[in-house]
Amino acid sequence: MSMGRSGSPNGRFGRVSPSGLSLARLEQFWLKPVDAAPYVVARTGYGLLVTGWALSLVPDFDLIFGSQSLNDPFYPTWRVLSLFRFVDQPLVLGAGLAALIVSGAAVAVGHFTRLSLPLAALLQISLADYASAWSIGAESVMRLIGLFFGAFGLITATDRQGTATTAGHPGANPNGMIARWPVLLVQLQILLVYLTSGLEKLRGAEWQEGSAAYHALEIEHLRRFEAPEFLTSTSVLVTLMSWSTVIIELGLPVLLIWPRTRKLALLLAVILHLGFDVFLELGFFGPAMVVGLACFLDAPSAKRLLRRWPFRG
Amino acid sequence: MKPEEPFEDYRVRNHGPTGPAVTIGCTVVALSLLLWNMPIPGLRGAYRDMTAPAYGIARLNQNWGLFAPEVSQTSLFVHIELVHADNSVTRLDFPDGEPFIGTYRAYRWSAFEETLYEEPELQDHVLEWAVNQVDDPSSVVRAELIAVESDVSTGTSGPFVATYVRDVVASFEPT
Repeated sequence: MSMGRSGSPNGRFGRVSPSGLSLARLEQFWLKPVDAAPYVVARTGYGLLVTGWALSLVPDFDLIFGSQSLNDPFYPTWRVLSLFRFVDQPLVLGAGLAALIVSGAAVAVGHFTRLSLPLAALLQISLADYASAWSIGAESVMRLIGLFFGAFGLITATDRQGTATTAGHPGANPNGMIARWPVLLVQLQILLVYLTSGLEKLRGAEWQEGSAAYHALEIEHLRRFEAPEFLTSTSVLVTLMSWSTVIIELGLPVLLIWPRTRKLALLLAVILHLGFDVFLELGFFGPAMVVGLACFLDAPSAKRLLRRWPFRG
Repeated sequence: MKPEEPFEDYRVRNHGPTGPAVTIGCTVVALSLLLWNMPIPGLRGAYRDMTAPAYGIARLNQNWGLFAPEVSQTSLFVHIELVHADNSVTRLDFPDGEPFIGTYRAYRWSAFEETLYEEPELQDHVLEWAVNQVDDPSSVVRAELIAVESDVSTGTSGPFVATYVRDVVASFEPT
């Protein structure tokens, strides 16, 4: 059976609306089976990411969640769906943090993903909401990836979510393929991050004149490693850094969408984030974006990465 | 699933009755993301004003404009000073970290310092907390939230020597 203009023959999903858009076509778009390997790479990265994020909270647990918390209980405004909206005793928050470390690790090794993936996403979002006074863009990227992957984990049986071993082997194992919607949603989100950020920069006077990188490197409280003096004292380099950031961010959406330039785009994106991460204190933003970028990997590259991963799920 | 398996069979076997719900959900989410991030600032602002509560509940709210600041802004460090009855001062700094692994802790406290600088509601709570951190809280007559800011970097390149300005952002007197 093929899905042409008439759609599925069972009638329920097969009606094509006058505009040519039907539920059947949308289903084909979102539910089309694709190789699970890129998703498994991204999911593994997400597991490592939330585990690392949770572990980084441990030294400051008492100041953020504990009896000595600096958190004003009236401060966070976006706790509508948070697990800790009504029950926020330190013991409960501590149990939540411990559960996030365990579930994040389970996601990273591909175990019980129907439970561990949505649980890790829900706990990460809830803890980040509780600690919203300590949050920056990194937590937003993690939240959005968690929402899409968590929803997929929840509604898809574990043995249909793909593993490092079975990804891409549809004949040998039914979980070699997945519906592509979680990958598509994360891809869309990543494209929008670059596009929006690039367009905003394009409108800024300092980005236009090319001095933005110079000023950014001078913000002490955001500094990770001090930039070499030749970088900030050479006007041409400063201008080049500023403009190349804008050009790469605006170019990435196009380069990532076009399969022929996708590898180049991934390389540019990783270099961009490495550059940010060396000089600026952005926490988990770079790693979170790289996890999202993994959704753009082609299946053979993703499989090569998975072969190096010791935990096969 | 074999590659040649018909799409309808795949859909039914993998999603069953949830297929249409997933499809509609994904379509709504994708459209929501596109609308929230639309590239026309005026229209985007009006749309966000209208829909922010719904996006907040769905947790799809996001602001990537924060990665495109007019960056010639001040460097900001915040700490607390507790003034005792004998005029001695105890200084409390927020945690920091070394730039390798510690940066994954320090970024969080940099964010907190900015939040604290901007949010009066949080300032009172934190100053009250600070008073209770000393051995004898009754000796504290005043807690002050201090911001140390450097001036704006000017020019487009070259050495920049910051001068720092100290500012009392908030003050709290324990009763």
